[in-house]
Amino acid sequence: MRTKAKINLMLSLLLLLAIAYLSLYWGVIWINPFSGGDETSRLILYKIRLPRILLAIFVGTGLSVSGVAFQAILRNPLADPYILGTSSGAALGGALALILGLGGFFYSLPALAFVCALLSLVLVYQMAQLDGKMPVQTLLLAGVIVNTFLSGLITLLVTLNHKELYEVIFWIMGSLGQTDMKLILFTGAITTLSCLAVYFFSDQLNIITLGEEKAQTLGVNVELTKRLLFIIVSVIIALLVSVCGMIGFVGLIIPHMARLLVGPDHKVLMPTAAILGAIFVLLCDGLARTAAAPLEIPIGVVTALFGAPFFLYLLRRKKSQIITEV
Amino acid sequence: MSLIEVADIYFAYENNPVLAGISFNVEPGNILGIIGPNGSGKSTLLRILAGLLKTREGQVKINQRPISSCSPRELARMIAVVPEETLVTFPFTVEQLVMMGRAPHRSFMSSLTLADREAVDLAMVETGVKGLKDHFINELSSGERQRVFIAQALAQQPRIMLLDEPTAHLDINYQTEIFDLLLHQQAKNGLTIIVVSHDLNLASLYCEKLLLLRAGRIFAHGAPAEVITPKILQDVYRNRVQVSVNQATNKPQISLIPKGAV
Repeated sequence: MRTKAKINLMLSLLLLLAIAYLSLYWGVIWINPFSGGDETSRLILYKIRLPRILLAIFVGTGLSVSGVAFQAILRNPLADPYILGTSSGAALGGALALILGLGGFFYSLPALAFVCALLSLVLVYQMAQLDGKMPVQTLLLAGVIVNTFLSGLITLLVTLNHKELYEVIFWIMGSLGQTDMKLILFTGAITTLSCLAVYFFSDQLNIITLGEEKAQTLGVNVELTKRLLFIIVSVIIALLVSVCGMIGFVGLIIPHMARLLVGPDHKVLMPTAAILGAIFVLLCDGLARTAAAPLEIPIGVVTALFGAPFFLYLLRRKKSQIITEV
Repeated sequence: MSLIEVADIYFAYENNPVLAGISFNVEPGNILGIIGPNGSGKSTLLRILAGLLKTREGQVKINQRPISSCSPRELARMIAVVPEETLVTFPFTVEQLVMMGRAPHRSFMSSLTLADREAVDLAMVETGVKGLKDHFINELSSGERQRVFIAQALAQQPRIMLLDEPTAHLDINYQTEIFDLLLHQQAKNGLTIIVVSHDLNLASLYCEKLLLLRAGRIFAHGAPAEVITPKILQDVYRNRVQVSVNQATNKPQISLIPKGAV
């Protein structure tokens, strides 16, 4: 990695820390983390805001890295785990686990989410293939349809089981309301390890963007790489969706923003996207908590409200710079 | 000792036989042109030689070793492949793309060695893209793009280079430029080159041997003067042609005769 890229990364990491620190202050009540404060303030700081900020960072990182990996493997700048139905697969698995009464076990919910995420990913992938090729339109269409179908299925399942509507909202729109620190740290550890694992494939991802045959003739074991990465991304998505529900647009727009800033080389792109994603989710969550207080807006609504127009803007303004073709 | 030995290969997509009974050898440092009408199996044969397709019967050996027993990485150290067109989804720079040619020589997550940098530099100089190294690939003309991918292939430091219609979309000045560049590599490094082309005149000018396919079988194999004859071309292409000799190179060149002409 070049020195300039390293300096940029350090700077954005500092920015992330600054925003995370500010997010501790920022809320319906402004609290100075260093003033000591009373019992209530400390409770809000350490039991509510800190877990939430950590979770926002892990979610932003995990979703962005997954988006980067998907866009490279599928050679499609519009691919991301949300649009392609991997997230809704995970959400369906999570909802199923709850309905079947498996939710009490610490690991069974994410495990079922993982199985369903991987299944829906494989389903979309198989559906999108026409004569050994995967046209951009077919992939997106297959993803959107599977996504819509699974989201409908989740709503149906939850409704039929006389669950509250907020549970549907949790799965479809996401929430960073989880405060169980043990669970959050577990999520953080697995997400970080998985993102590192994806990062180790940077060179292969660069080459795979030239097409699978070209990549094979450059010595990449394409099938193995693809399978491993699909599994790793499914782990990330399953875990994040189990804890936070489905949060869209992060995996789609953040890789593009990062690409605009540092170019398409995955060695630099991936860490940049990870940090940008964390910053984006932190800011969106700040708004989600405060904009309509005392009501909380679902985080997925905020990411969509900001993400979609921003993405359209990027597509119009910088089309030639982000992608060479669609 | 032949570098490439192709022994009686048979290949079919589903139940459609594409190639049958194909056998030939290529000597080190040779340039072989694979020619033939559309659908005769040229590109399929090239993809088999590249290890991208597995044959049902027969085998391809390189340096006595069956390619079916080689990993993609081992193959990529011996064989570089330049497709007709390489789609680049994201705007990499020329240098980044040529650097990818070093992948088969680098170990997992290693940083670039001096040898890597030198190979990339040399490949860019020899293909004349050094001056473009910081340009984005999507800003280049198709002739320049093709030279970038040849540079990427050279950075692999292969013994064999396979090219599929490398000049199909190019103007004639770019066509000769690409072939002159390949010829230079053959002379300088003893690179063995197999090129699929539908341009009979170009193939005749630059290749030492030609392999003419018809309907998945070898129809003729030999020096251009043996393959590019009115009789053979009329049999394969069902076209009346006139064959003359290029004064500068002594190679046969064809001109078409329209049906109406006497």
